[in-house]
Amino acid sequence: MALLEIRDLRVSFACGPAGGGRGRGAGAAEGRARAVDGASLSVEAGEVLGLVGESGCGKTTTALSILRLLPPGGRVDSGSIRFEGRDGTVRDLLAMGEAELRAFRWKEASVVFQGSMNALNPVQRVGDQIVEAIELHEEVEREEAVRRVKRLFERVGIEGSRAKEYPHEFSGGMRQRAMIAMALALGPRLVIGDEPTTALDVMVQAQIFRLIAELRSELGLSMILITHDLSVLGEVCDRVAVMYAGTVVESGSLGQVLEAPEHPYTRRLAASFPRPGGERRLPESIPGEPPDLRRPEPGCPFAPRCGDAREECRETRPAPRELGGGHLVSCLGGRRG
Amino acid sequence: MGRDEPGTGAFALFRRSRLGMAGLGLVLAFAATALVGPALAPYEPLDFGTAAEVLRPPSREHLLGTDDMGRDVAAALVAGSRTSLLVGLSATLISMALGSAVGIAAGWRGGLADSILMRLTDVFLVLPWMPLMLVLAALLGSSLWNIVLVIGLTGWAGTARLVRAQVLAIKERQFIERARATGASGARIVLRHLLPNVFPLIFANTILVTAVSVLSETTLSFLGMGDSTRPSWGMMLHFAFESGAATSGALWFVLPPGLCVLGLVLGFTLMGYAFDEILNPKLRRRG
Amino acid sequence: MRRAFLRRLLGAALTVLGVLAINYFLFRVMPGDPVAMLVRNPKMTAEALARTRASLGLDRPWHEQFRSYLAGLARADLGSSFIFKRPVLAVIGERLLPTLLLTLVAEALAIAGGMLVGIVSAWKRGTKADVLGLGFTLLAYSMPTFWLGILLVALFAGRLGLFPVSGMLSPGLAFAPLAQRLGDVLTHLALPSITLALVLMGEYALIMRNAMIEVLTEDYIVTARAKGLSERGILRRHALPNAMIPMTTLIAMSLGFAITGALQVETVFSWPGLGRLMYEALKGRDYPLLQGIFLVTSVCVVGANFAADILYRYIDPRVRD
Repeated sequence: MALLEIRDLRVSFACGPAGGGRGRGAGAAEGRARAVDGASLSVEAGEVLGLVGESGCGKTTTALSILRLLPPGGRVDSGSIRFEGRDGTVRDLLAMGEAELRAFRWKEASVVFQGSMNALNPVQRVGDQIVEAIELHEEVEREEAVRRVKRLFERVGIEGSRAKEYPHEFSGGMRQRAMIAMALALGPRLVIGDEPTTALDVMVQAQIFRLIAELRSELGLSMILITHDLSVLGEVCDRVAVMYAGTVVESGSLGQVLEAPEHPYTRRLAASFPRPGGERRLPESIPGEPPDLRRPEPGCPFAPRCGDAREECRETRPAPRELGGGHLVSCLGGRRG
Repeated sequence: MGRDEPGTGAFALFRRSRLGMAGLGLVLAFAATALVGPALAPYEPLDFGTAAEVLRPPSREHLLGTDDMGRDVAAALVAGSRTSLLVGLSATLISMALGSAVGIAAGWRGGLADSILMRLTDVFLVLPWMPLMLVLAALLGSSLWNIVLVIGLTGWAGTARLVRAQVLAIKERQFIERARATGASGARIVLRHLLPNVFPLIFANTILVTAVSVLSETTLSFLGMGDSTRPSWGMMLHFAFESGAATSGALWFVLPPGLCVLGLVLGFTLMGYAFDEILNPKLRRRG
Repeated sequence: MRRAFLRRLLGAALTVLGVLAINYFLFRVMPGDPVAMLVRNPKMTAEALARTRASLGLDRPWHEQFRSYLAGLARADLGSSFIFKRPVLAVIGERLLPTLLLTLVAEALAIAGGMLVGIVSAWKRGTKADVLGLGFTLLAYSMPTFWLGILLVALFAGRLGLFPVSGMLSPGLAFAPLAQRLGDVLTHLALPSITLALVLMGEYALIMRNAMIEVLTEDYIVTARAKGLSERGILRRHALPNAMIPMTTLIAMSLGFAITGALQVETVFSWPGLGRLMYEALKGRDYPLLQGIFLVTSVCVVGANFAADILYRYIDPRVRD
């Protein structure tokens, strides 16, 4: 089986009167919003999966569900997340108990959080925060852990002596390098990169991606790389999954999805990004808005914005269709003309 | 909640806060008592009773009993609500006007004016203000308006800091830049653009400052620095304490005024707390 | 680090200078002629009045007067108390220790209790424990300190007779063995310090709760959870150190409030400290003594704020350089 297999995941968030209820529209319903609505995807060992989609499509929520790190008010309603451990046993992460979960986190799967986030504790030395992770999961002497942090730092391109500094003494790029060092500290089987380069300037973004590409070929990392920027996919990804309104609408190899997109949404998305080497043009935006997650419609979620939608599309939700070679698409239409 | 008019959304949310509405109810109840109560009370709050009427427990004639001078406790309570609200609100008005003026001046002007004003604010912020109030009251004499002045003059520093921080944040926003670019005068920008945006914060702060002002008035009166021609809760407690009523078991003389202070201050505190939770998005309850 | 320290020291010195100026002008300039103010004091004899008038040097210009006032301060001369007929500084000196004892014990209790209530409230947000904690907090916050003191005296000292009603030491124990005297002081200290602590706790618990709630939404808390820390570990190693930053500021800022509370508590419990002394000075319209007390308490508060500023640097590395 694959290293990770997410099947039909559904996650919802409470939106009470004082919470997200003031989003759009007056008198919005109270209750729960479906952030992830039947998402399925898999990651093979040694593979990098790019998870793309507009903001709010549920990609981060899906990824955080793997470590069961949903923010307060969030809840997994149904589905399964199966993970193959080091010893070959397969476990459903959603069925794990508290202690088992804590042992799983970071040791088996770790996260590189968004660059814009305050992911490092401002009052603790950066090195100590990595040492803390090591000591939590392994029986090591403190000196040994400190030596390991130094080596990790040097590997990601930071002087080892700077482990003694605090986060505010680092630049944005360095903080992200430190975050990567922390994610690798325990040699996890899966690393989740949640838009690891947002909020960094373009030069630094390129450096970080180069580092990720290097580390991946060197360590044979399995990764989920979340991004809304299609142009970075080619550099590091093997496969791509496209999310829209809480479900995976299309997935397949890089070539399948980017060169021969089958889902109307993927086609629009791909068209809105300049291709490397291709002609430069202004990104084209997709008319309409994503659906209101608080009131799920029965049909295809993209139907209201889709130029080719038919009556059928508004009534039945399309199931994933295999197009050959692992290329999956959830669309009733397809190319018939 | 629209970004440019945080006030309207905040008030709508306030109506949904149970704690906030409970606080508003408490305050309104005391306000109603202060307005119509004295006209309805059968006794004059400052009229001494006969020797036989001194320190009598609650009875049909005196619903809450009498104090050490034979005065009706209930009548004094009702009259005291007027003093507390009058002093609390007037002193807050002075504090807020002074604090907002200093905060806006410091934040808007910046530079040397800012440094000097903030140093002054710091001095007032760290000064033990109760001794300062007592000294001022002792020097000025304790008439009602002097008490108002004393409380108002010592309570503005926190507001000034808060308002300055908000002004600094708003100053950088685009619409201010735009107003400046069109050549609007400083005073006009402050009045038309800055003030409306600082207002919700000033308002929420006003409520909390009122709670403190009411407490300050009571404490000053309790320590014997109040206006002795006006019945107030603090003064009732002063006499209750000085006459040893508390330890002798005359609880009807000790409990009601204290409960009134607690109720009124709690009312303002609850309202202030509710606004704080609304205006500070991080404290807003999720889900 | 050194420069920042010196800057803070200069700031504190400026604040003290401000206090001195306020203190001086409050008593000499504001009410017009200070002699008129002294005449209002019925206990003043004509002879004492003349002596005070001469000692104030009212015929000289104000800046000269201010200078001689400062010179007097430099010689630790705060004038002489009307009611005690002794140097103000000596009178204050005798009362400083009891106030410090009361305030420090109450602060320690309030900080520990307030943090505990605040942490539990924030951690168990929305549960019964939070509602209970919040209710206590808002009630304590709105409570008139002196009234709480009176109630506690009436209940625990009056009705139940568990604690002494007032004072710091039972009469007749002045020459008792140290251990016995210490025990006696502690039983006298219990009610006043608990009264003061309860009132201070309200504010501490509220700020701790809000600080914790804010910190718990921070991204590094998610990181800590992702690393596999237990909830307790997250609280202790990540949430608490960050929540202590606003807490430290608050504790320093609320020292003025603590003094205000101590003043009331001392009055109610006849605790022989500065607050009680101030009450006596107010009743006797003893202006030199009032001025001295105001000066000493202000300098204490400024000093404590300065100490907190330095401590703050150790808690928050971001302001260290």
